[in-house]
Amino acid sequence: MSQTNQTQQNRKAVLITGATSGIGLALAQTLAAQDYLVIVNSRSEASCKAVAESIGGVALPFDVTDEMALKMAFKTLNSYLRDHHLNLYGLAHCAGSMITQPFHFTNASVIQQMLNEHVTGAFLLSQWSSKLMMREQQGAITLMSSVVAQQGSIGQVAYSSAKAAIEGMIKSLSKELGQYGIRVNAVAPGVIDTPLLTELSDEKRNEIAQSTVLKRLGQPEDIAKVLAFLLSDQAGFMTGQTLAVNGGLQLP
Amino acid sequence: MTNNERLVATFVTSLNIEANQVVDELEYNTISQWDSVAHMVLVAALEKEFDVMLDMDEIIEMSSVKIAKEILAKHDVVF
Repeated sequence: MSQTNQTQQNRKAVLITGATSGIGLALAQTLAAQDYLVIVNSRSEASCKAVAESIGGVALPFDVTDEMALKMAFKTLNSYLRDHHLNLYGLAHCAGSMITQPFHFTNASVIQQMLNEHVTGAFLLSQWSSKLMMREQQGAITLMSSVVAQQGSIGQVAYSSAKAAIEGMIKSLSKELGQYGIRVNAVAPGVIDTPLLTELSDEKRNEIAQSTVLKRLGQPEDIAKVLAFLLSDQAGFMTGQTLAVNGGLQLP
Repeated sequence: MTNNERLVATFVTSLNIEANQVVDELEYNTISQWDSVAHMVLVAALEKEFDVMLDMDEIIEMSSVKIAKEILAKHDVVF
């Protein structure tokens, strides 16, 4: 875990998974600009260090689907926070892939991967993070749902199942953690122009854009701003909520 | 302060009980103050006081003052 500057004390520390690309990166940049101390996570140590250096954050690379690696990372994080007289204030779990396959072409390993990344990852991250947040009896957790959790989408049975689980998770989690001053919310993005969309043709992207009320794809910053709001004191009386941020998208 | 005194003080603060109640035989869920909600407050406070991170299995296992000491001992906290 590398430190990239010496002026971190008194800043709110927020762990962001998947912070080196797409929505996670946009959130890392947004929060850093608001003077949070961003703990930058992804699987790639080099990418974590590069992003951490660029925003004055701290790199903490680990794979969210590896329970042992996750546990060791939190022990490292605990030591870092202790040494710098900091507490963990926030968690934003943005890591995770999306697999699009027709239902009958989807192996059991695919749904297992989706559940590991999105559900088990969120569960364990929330468990370890909230334990750190309880020390100060305050904190905020944001998890990522998706427009497909509510609307469904052809070819995304596994992905939408995992994302729907997140919406159930935040409702129960908010009830358990509220008594410790910890809020739990989710954002359900529509189709966002991130590396997850690289496989889509320009024609398909345009078709999706035209399916929104606002006639455009979302940008990572559109989601990052809402996540930053949910993590902030401005959302201090919000918990157990999923905010749809999709430009009015209606999926077929 | 000895580690035992720190442990007693942490139990007192976290569970809002008297110091003389913090004996090895005190068990989880045998007094109203040590319920599941307070248990996690206690765990967080012990972790902070002794600078450890307990595993989920240890949190579940920590069902008495005596066992709390045994678990902390595994993390090199000497009583």
